[in-house]
Amino acid sequence: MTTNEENRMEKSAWQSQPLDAPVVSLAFVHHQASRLNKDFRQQKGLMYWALGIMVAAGLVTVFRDPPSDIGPMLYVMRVGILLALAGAVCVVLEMRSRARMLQSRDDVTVTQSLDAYRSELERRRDYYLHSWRWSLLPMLPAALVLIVGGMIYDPHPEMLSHYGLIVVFAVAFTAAGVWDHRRKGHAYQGELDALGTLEHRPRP
Amino acid sequence: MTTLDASPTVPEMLSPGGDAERVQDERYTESIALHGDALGRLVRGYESRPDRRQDLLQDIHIALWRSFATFDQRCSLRTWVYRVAHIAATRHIVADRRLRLRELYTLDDVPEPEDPHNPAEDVDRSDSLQRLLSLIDRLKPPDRQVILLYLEDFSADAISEVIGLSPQNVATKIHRIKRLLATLFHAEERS
Repeated sequence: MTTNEENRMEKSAWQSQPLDAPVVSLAFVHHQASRLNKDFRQQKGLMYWALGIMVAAGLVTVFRDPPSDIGPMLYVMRVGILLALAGAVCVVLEMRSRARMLQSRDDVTVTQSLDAYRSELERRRDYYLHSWRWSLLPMLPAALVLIVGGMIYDPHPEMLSHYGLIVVFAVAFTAAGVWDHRRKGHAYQGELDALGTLEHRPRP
Repeated sequence: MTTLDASPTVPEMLSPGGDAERVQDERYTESIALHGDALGRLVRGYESRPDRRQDLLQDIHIALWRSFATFDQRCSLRTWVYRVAHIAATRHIVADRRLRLRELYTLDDVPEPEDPHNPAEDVDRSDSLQRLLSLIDRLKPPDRQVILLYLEDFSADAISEVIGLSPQNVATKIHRIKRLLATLFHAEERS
């Protein structure tokens, strides 16, 4: 049997395999596409509602009648909560802009599949290497004010050990998260490096 | 065969339409008529779990329909369809938490399939197909794209146009693919 005949056999075996794939109608595609848009709008709406409730709850906490026996700790709490709200707004806005970038990309870019694979790997690498910057840094001032301020001004000295534990757990948790993300980010970079060694077709 | 159709109770969810959307619908319908079965096979090469396979197929259909809003005819319809399908399928496997890229191989380092010939065992074509699917399932996305397009009878140049690798690079990969396929399909004839 010649190589060409062998190739034909392999290809015909592949092409004549029984398929369990359902037939997808145009109406179904319309329906699913509009449902995806609707789901996306609902998720966005839910996110804004959650943010609104958090801001309202935070403001109520800040400005309601304070307990009389906590002294300067009241100001620490107020500043800390306001900073946490501002940080949360920053995080939500950043998430929103990233979701929008992801959403719009599908509609406008159909490129060679290797380019698409590369840009997907780059997106994931950047997410894992840099997400801590936009997800943790905005919350850092609030955490510092609440913890350091609490250590200094909390009227209950027995709480000091609690603050110490919070700091230890927060630092350990953050370090583990950042380390894990960096490890994943470097794995994506490794895959990108391997792609870089392939010879590409010149773009038309 | 199952048909996925929209519920007739939700026609109000459909977009109002217009010339652009009509063209989009026509191109989508034409591409599915020509390449619908091939998309079903492509999905088998990317997803081994039947339930997730249906999800992936739906994702590809939706991506394809949406893509025709921007189809500029600078490449053939076939090239466009396969680009969109492979992009959607590749995103699907990259996003799969179950999958770790370092557990996938390139065509050069994928372990050679064992010789399926066993005198005590009748190796038929469906076994070879299963072994082929399991081989494809272990490949990294670019190599998976090359082998799937090769099996769909694409030439090296056409594969190169869909993927973006140089034709020489694709030809080298095809050479390796032929060797792997020979081991899978023809071992029983050799012995």
